[in-house]
Amino acid sequence: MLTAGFTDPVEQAQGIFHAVMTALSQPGTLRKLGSGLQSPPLRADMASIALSLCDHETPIWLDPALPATDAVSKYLAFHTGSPLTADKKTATFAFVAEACSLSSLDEFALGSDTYPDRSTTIIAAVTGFDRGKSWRASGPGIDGTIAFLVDGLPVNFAARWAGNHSLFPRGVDLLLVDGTDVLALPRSVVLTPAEEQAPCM
Amino acid sequence: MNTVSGLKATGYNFAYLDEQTKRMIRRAILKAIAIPGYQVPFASREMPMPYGWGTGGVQVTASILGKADVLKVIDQGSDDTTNAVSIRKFFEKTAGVRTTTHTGEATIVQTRHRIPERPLRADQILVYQVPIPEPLRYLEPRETETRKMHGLRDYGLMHVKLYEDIARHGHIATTYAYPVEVAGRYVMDPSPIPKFDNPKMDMSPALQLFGAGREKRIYAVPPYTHVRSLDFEDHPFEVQRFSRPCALCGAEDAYLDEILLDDRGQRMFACSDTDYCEERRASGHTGLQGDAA
Repeated sequence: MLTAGFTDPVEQAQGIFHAVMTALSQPGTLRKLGSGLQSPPLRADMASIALSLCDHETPIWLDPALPATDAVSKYLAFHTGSPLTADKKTATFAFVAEACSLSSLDEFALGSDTYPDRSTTIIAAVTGFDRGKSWRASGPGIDGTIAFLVDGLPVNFAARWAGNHSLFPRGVDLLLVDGTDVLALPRSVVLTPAEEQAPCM
Repeated sequence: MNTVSGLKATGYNFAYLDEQTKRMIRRAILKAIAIPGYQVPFASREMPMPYGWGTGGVQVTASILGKADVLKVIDQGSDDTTNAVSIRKFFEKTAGVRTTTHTGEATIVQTRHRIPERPLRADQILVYQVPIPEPLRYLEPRETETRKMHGLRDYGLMHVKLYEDIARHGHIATTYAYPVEVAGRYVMDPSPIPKFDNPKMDMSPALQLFGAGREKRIYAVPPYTHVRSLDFEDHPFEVQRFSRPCALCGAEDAYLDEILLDDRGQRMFACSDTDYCEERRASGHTGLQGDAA
């Protein structure tokens, strides 16, 4: 059965967008997502971002590892009207069940030199921002450097992200979610591991 | 001058735009923040005001605005000019949000051609109305070419233009819409703000969003981003200086407007940022003609 979307679409969508916008403009900081969705078939944080930002203009790539894919695709079709795509290169948004399983970032749309905005925004779930590996970030939106923790990023993420950043202005933007908060890594950010890489899980 | 909602009109979606339009603009804003200084194309809508009256800024403001936001609108630094008054009323009517003239109280400041004198904070957003977003447009009219030039980071033409200023006038004569380089990559038009305001864009704690309605472009400068005004080693960037302080509040650090007083050449120079001037006078500062205010 289909579950309901936002009870107040105008205000809730604005709230989610504002959290994502602030997260992207201040990379490395946590923003509360506060979804207000009643038991959606996919994670509430991902569902609320989808309902706030996706529509018929934005093809979505869904990670096959996301549970109950049939219910999820019906839910997204009804509430957003977004077409689902199996081709990562054509996705405007990609929802990844575990950031840990995130394969190389350049399989997604990276945009072109003349239209770098035609790239994928990846929403990936991590297991927490209060533990795990510590990172140091710098770049636009950050006053000097900022340190933060993320648990659940893949091994070699530092190298993968460096590859993504080196494509600037092309590249993907990453929204990491843990159920309550969002932390954004726009392509403009330089990331360095603050300690030795520990493999996830 | 605080206005509480009470004027809100019925029959409109919150902040006038429909939700699909807001989503489209919001996605453009997110890309703009991720690629500082790059002009993101967007499907600009017809607004109930003509192009050139700030339709780009209005669409950006409408898309980011929430019920709890407090909006300030300025036109050339002033809260009381036609453009500022109409846009403020537009949002009072269609969104019912609180508006203010005090820079310190606002969460969103929509501006035409000035940056407020009072430094902005991290919880504030500055929305610029932009007439021509492409800094290279007067040098190369073809969009296909300017797009390629941005892609290749080929900004030689812009330096030639600034050099020709020096060859002709002995100094860089560009005084407004002075081109800047954002985060070491894109050259951007800061909109027709006086170059006096350019240094305020550099490492500002506030997010800066730019909307060009007719030209259908949105671009952004995230907080704490390097914004460098283009110049030459032997002709470094300089801002305008004024030979006298504000006649009303005595400010020496503010951008001044020349105001004609009569038909015999009498004139005075006063702050273009009216809120800054009023706040200074309220706290006891006064200029040579302060009492006349």
